[in-house]
Amino acid sequence: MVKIDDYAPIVGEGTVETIKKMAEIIKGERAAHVNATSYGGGVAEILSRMVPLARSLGIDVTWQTLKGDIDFFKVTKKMHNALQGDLGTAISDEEFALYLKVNAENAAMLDLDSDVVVVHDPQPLPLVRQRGRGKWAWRCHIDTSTPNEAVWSRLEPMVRMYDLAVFSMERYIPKRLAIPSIIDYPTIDPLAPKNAPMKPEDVVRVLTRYGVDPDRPLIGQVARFDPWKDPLGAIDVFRRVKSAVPGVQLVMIGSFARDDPEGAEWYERVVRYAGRDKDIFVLSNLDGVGDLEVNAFQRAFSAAIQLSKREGFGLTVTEALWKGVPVVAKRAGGIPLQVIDGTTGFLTEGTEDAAERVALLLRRPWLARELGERGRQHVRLNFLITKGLSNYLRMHIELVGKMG
Amino acid sequence: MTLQKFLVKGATLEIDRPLVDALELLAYGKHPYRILVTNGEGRVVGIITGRRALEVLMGVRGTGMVEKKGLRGTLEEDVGIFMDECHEIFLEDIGVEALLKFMVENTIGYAVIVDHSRRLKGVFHEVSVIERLRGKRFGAEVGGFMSKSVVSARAGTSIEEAAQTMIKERVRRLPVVGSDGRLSGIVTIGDILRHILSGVEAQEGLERDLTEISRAPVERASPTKTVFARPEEDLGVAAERMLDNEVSGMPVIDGDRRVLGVVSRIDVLKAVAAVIGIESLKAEING
Repeated sequence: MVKIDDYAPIVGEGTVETIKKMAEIIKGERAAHVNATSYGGGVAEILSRMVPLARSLGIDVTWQTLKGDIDFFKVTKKMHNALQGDLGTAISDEEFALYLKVNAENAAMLDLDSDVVVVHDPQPLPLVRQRGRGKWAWRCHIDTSTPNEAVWSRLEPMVRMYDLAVFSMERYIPKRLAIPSIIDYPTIDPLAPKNAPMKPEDVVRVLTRYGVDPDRPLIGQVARFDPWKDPLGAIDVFRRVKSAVPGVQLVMIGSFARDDPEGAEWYERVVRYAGRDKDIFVLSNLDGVGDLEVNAFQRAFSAAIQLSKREGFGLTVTEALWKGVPVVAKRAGGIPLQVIDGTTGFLTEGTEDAAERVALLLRRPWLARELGERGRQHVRLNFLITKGLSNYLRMHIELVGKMG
Repeated sequence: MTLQKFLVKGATLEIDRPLVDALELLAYGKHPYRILVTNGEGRVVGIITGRRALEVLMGVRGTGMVEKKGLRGTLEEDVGIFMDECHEIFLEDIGVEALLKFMVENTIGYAVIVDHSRRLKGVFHEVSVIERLRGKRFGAEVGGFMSKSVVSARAGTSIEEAAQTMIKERVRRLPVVGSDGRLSGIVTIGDILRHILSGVEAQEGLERDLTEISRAPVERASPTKTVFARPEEDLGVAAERMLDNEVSGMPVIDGDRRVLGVVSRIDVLKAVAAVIGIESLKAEING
């Protein structure tokens, strides 16, 4: 069972004490988090760590997920793409009606009788129409800086029904949002199976299980199989790197989330694009790649790549940096907050540029080590779960008006 | 080049001080827009900005608390409850070039520098950088780099309305424009905080005072001198004017005093970096 004191050696006693004091103020209060899925994607990952940690502090927190069929998740995936700026997406009246209907059914089944209800992302957004007592916050994890206006205008009246909106970055906050908003950078848990320290022999065991040669350099991209993450671009970069550093191998790791019907289709495309190259490994949860395996692969990377065109924030970058691995990435979402060009990795524009940077890190292990260590410190100071938890506690205190 | 010579002290407040102390620092302090919140051992635990304070005063944030405790009671609460997490923290061995890149990439005007125990060593601030660009000209005009989406207030707008606009639009300053469309002044979050604080005389009845004070026209809070730029001016000239007048940004106007845009210190820093490159920028500020 995870305890807040376990984090003291990493983030310091002071931070832990501050968190305990805040938790004391709202001890016994009820909070509910609702999102689309309990598996796959960054939100489920954050909640799977944050909720038990908050419970260990004496707060009565539940984590509940939506029940919906494939048609519902097809609609919400379209909404997700539209909010991220896909102007070609339209939601029909029938689709919107289904979206509201499924949410109304869920509202009747979920236990939302809480002091604070936090609803994550657009999928469960309409639950607020059935709100009862308590304060409601909408936590939007996606980049809504330039949303598809037609889709946003249908959702906005429901956003107005919340007491507070929470965004991952300042520029994601839609202009003229009618309700108060705050910024909460996403964070990672250094003690989660995905990020906790591993023995080198365990890393090697994972690599060899998947046929990856532990004695040759390895690079990789961890991201959903999704056009926004540009997995095909990652393979292009790899091919160029390989011509400079022939022994290099590439691992592409994605997972199939229940709310992401496009995933399978894109996985197929990536496999086809990789072709017969035996040094490219396209892996997913269906191959048994879970948190521990991702942890092992990331630790084995000489460099991580992240060629996403859009990112909610880019927590896979955070994970790699935390493991002391420099990241070569494009400027998407929260990546420039994490990848400081020439200090914790490299920011790149195109395939050629990215390949040059990756090859440089492979040829100069001392440089990769230096950047990796700086990246780890950057994450330790700025992007660990204790910050996310503090934000939630503070938000709760403020929303319910409890005093110490 | 050592980072040390660029660092400024920055305003700090301990986590268990009342929110009203933060308000006073924000209204009258030397570097008034943000205050670092530290614990008893001098470790940085958070940050509080002028916007945050204004949100509480205007009843936009902390509403649950204002409902229960009233504004006066809320202002007596620990600043720790209202602060935000600070996400721009760097170890003291970070290089100046890395900080410049971070600030320019993310349009962030400051970085908080700590030692390995998170004890505050100082703040790397855009002002320290721009100060070293005094006298330099870049052959690039303000008009090419200003922000053209301007949120402004009509002259005669109430302070309350101006404050709500700044909160909603997430801007720190509003050019005030007359009915003829010409610039008549500018008001910042700091100006409004200062105005409110100086207007609240009695210890009790803050709520009532606040309502009266914020009903006044925005010009009351606005400084007597309006600092502005012209689009054809060199970035270096604009930067110096902001330093000389201790403002973080200014409206850009044409010959008829119509507002064309707004330019801020971080806009200038980004623009200079874009025009001469980070390497040269680093060389320039190193003298």
